[in-house]
Amino acid sequence: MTSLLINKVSKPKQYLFSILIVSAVSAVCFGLSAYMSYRVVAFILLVTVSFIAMIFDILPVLFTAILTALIWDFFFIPPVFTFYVRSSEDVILLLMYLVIAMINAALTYKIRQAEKVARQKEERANRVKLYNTLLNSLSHELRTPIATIIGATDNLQTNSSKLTAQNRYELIAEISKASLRLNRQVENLLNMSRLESGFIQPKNDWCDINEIIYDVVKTIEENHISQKIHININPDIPLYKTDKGMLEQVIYNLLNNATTYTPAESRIDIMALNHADVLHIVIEDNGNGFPEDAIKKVFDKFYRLKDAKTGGTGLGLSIVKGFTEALGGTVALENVAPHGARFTINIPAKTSYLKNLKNE
Amino acid sequence: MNKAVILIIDDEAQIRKLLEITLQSNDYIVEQAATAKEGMILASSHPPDMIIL
Repeated sequence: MTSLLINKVSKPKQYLFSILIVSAVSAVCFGLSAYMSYRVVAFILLVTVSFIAMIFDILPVLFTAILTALIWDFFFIPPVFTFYVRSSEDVILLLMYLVIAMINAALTYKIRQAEKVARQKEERANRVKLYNTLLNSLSHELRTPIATIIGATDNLQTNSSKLTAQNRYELIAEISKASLRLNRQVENLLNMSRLESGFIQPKNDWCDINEIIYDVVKTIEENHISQKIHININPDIPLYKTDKGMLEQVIYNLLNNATTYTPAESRIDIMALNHADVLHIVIEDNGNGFPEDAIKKVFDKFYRLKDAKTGGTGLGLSIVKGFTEALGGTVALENVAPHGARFTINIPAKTSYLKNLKNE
Repeated sequence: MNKAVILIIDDEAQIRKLLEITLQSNDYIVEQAATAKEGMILASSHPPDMIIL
């Protein structure tokens, strides 16, 4: 709590509050000076300085230390209302007061610095842990298809005499699937790097949404998914001038997630229409939906839901968001009733109907 | 010669398939499990000669 106040209150305000607090305390003490000796007031002011040292920055605190010393001298040490100090004992008290107040300020400052360093170390350790966990998952995602390819090709080369025709067929199918899986992971990683580097430049050209969506759905369905994908594209949808590769990747990642993470036999709908030169795509399923507190975080790099099964890297949705925004659009996630999730994408782009396209 | 029984436990289907083909073509009997739980059930009902994890 104390650290928050330093960050939230601006320096000038800290000085102001310090003056107000000190004035209030001094005024009360002055009002009660008939009942307490001026030496007690020193301790009260020291406590005030300590309190301010806990919540404010070092310079306002030092200012407060000096200010209270002056106030104590002027208003409380006899002769009152002068800075002159009659008794030499009181001079020593005044000097000690200053020393104690300054040491107090310096010590609290040191404690806060140490806390800050400890917190930064913990944050750094957490980040390192997160990266390590995900690097492991990523390396597993790459190594498994590679192991499959090596194992299968080794079999075909050295074990060939013992293999049946069916074996050979299956091994080749595994090599093919593993290669595609590897390709996709590398694609994900490269896309992530492009987004991270900031050098993302869409290559815009006229895109046929029908073609893009049907192609992506066909690729997904080739993976023997158990869910049914329903396509609903508005027949009046125009061509859009946007980056075909990036758009395909966005739709692919969303549909791939839907087929990977919804229960078997779930229903997945993809819908596209044009609204005032904005490409509007909705991908919706009737699966389990997302926990409410995860919805804000799903688009974060490497974020995966708590019980997600192995085999994902957490990059899919951050690529979706990165690409959509690079195309000038937005993506949003919400849960739907009774259960399921809906991703809504809006991408503004130039539109055209085929008959208007001349020699582009 | 008795064929030895090997139990494969791995969550990746592609790895299980690969091992199955390799081992069966070399005259081993192969049992498969995708999770540790399934694996333990299989291992207790049909004790294998070797388990690959």
